[in-house]
Amino acid sequence: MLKIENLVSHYGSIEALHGISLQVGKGEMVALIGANGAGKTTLLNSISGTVTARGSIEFAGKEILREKAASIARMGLLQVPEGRHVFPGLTVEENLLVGTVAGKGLRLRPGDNSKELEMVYETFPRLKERRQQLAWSMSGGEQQMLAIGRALMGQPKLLMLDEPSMGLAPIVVEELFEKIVEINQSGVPILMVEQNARLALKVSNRAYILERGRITAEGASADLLQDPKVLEAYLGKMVSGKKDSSKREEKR
Amino acid sequence: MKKRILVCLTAAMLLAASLTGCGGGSSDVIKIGLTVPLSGDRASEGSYASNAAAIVEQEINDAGGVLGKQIKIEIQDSLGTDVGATNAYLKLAADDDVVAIIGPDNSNDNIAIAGSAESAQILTTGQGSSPTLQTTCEESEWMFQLRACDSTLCAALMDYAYNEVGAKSFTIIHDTETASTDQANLFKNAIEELGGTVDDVISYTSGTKDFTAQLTQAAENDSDALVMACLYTEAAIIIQQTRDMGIDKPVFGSNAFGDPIAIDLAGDAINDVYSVTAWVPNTPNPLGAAFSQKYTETYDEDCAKAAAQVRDHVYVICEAIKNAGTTDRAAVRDAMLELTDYEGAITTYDCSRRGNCGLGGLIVQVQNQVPTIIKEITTG
Amino acid sequence: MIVQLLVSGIAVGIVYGLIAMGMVLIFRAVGIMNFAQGDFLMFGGYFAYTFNQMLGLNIVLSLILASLCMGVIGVIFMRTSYWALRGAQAKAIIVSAMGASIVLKEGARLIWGSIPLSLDKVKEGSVTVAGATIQWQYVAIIGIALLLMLLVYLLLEKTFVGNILQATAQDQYMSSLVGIPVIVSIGLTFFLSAALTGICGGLLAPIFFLSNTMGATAGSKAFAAIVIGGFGSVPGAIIGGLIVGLVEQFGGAYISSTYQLVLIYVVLIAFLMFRPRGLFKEKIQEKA
Repeated sequence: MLKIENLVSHYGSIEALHGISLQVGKGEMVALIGANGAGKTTLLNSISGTVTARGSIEFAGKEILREKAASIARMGLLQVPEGRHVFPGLTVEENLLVGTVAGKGLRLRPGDNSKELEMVYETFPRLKERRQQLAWSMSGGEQQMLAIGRALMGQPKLLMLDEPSMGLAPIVVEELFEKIVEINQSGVPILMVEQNARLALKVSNRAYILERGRITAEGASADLLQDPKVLEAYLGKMVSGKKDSSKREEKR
Repeated sequence: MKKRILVCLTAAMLLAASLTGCGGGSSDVIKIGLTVPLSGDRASEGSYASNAAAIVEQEINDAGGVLGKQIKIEIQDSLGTDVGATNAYLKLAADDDVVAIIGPDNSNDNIAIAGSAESAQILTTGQGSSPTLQTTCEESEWMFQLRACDSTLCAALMDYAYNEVGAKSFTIIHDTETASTDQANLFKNAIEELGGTVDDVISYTSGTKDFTAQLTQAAENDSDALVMACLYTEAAIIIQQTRDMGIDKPVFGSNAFGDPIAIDLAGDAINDVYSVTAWVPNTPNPLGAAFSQKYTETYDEDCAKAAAQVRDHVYVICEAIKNAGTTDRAAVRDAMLELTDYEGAITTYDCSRRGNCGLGGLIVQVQNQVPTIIKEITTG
Repeated sequence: MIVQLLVSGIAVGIVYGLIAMGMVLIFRAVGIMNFAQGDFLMFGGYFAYTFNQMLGLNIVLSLILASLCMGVIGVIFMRTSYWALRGAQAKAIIVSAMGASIVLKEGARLIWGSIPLSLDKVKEGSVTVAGATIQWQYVAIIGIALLLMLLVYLLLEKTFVGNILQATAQDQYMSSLVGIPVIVSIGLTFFLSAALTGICGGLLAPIFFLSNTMGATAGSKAFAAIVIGGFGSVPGAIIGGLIVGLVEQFGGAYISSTYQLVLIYVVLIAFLMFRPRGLFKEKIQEKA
């Protein structure tokens, strides 16, 4: 589905990715794990075309490295960025409808989107309850659902999720990941960036570990969960990281 | 990319340098400077002035030029501001071939350049008509106010209003811009001297477009007549709004109210308005009528005062150069002082007075959108 | 007298509000105060003059055509003065807008000359209401402005295209991630903004006349309206415009006609001191 070879990307004048190669197969859920500043978000942005890069990115058999972000999205390669980025001044339903641009293109009238809406509302019933509410006024968990729901409206062929658990209470994270697995099982391949390494490795098929712009380990998620190096570097830290995020959630 | 811009810039500079290089140093041409606003708010004045300059230049050169030399009118943009006028003046003064310089049609700009005229020692004629400019010129060695001063013109209009129209009480509305404020004061003094009453003096800031506030105030005074001192765009707007509000009192206006620009804009509303001016396109003056006709034929628009004035200034200066028999700046200035009875297109000039040199004015009333002379004033 | 001042205050104020609304649309889309907006007004007026006086078309048709032409100018303006600099500092874009303002001003002078011009009114004559004589043009201005505001409201809030425009204004990065070509969406916003402001020029021209410098005063009053109404708020811009128009008229009649402009700035400064966020907060609060 997605095949990246020798990708190099710069962040300002600093090289942030030094030759990344990575693949996501049909129906797969692939996790990308790494510390802050390892280059995970830069990698996703390079794939979605919002950051320029060199190398090769092949999606559904087509080279997309030089494509513009909007056309990559319209090919069905959709990114749910870190920080959710819901359109704050639009209602939930308007956010979802704008999401259909990726699947159906830019057009004057929205047309009939009841099938897509129904599907999203079925996955996230909470969104249906709040469909007339302005997006900024919703909780962090609801916004994350909306962000994912909006991507689903675009009939994704591959979904890239960037830190979906960030800033959410543990109970909300659990609910959300159930839905993510559900989406993946319905046939949408997912490439997920996640700091909560244990959770990511639990739900994914395969994983890559990114350190300072290089992939240092890759393999089946189950194997990586057993790897002592990984355990020490990522799973040990996780406990304190989780505490931090739950504190942030309380403040809201 | 950057390199390309650099190359273009260098090329442009070289071109500019070579162009300016061509004109310099030749003395078979007599240059007369003209500073008028070619851009900015008052750019229309500059367009009349440059049109007139082109006609006059050709007229004089076709008739053999001055002292056997061709004349050339050098125009510099005064931007419609006093600072712009001074800069334009200094640029012209720096050219040794420039024998005399004509200032813009605005008293303030001319007062601003008076100091430079003194230090550059060049004969300078101001087109403005304010009493302040009159005083400035009377005290200056090098500057002349080649026009009838507002003090006489405004008094004449008020005299006509009081004695012949029969208005005894007045409300004055004026622009806060200096020349209009001066005119408003002259109107006020004239009314009081005649024994009339001034009910109110209302002013507005230059650039005001809606006069409802001023006119409602004026309407409440219920004076016999309204007196307005405005620039031409505002003159057209205010007279339209006056009539639209149903105020049908007689209106006496500053020179802008008889100007073709204001008349075109205001349409029917400006009919019956009296004003005092030095010039109307349908002037009875034979020289004026000839110039006006030529101007209209050439440019397909009415010959405004700004055009006729430039014509007279150029002719007066050329006459002075002829009489001096030389292009020496001081000699030309001295010859200018000897011109006591020179017939122009607008009026007769007595340059020995330095200020208020124009000897005549006109009281006009707009009838069917044409400024019609109802009285000729002779000062002096 | 009060009726008279009220009508002209509302008519002039609603136009300031409409110009301010155009500025707010651009501000919300790209985060830049467009200092050439006043010149859109002037240019729109000249387009209306061209269709109405030079080609002899009916005034309403002329206004519509002028508005469309201005929309195109708006898109060109976006492409030349904003798009190339979108990654640069706001300062750079403001300076380039000022440059564009000079181009528009002097361009208008070259094309249409410097002599002030006038054009047809939407409806000639006047009507007497409660002892006040009111020009039909003022009534027409109020009516057309209200209609335009309603149309813009419907477009932005009730249509899919409006949602897309708002989405781009709120988050360009995310918009491109859902497949919206940002340049098209922003171009459309500039089109809308310039078209709205351009039509105001045609409406004002018969009473205030056209000159290539008319944009400056109107633009600065629209800016005052935005500050009073609250940066980025569309209803705020309209209410702010009405406040500016009414202060100008009533202040001019009852306080000082000489210092009309000063009064507006006094109100502006008072708002900046005591209510710096304006009357209306933006409906979008901090992004959660």
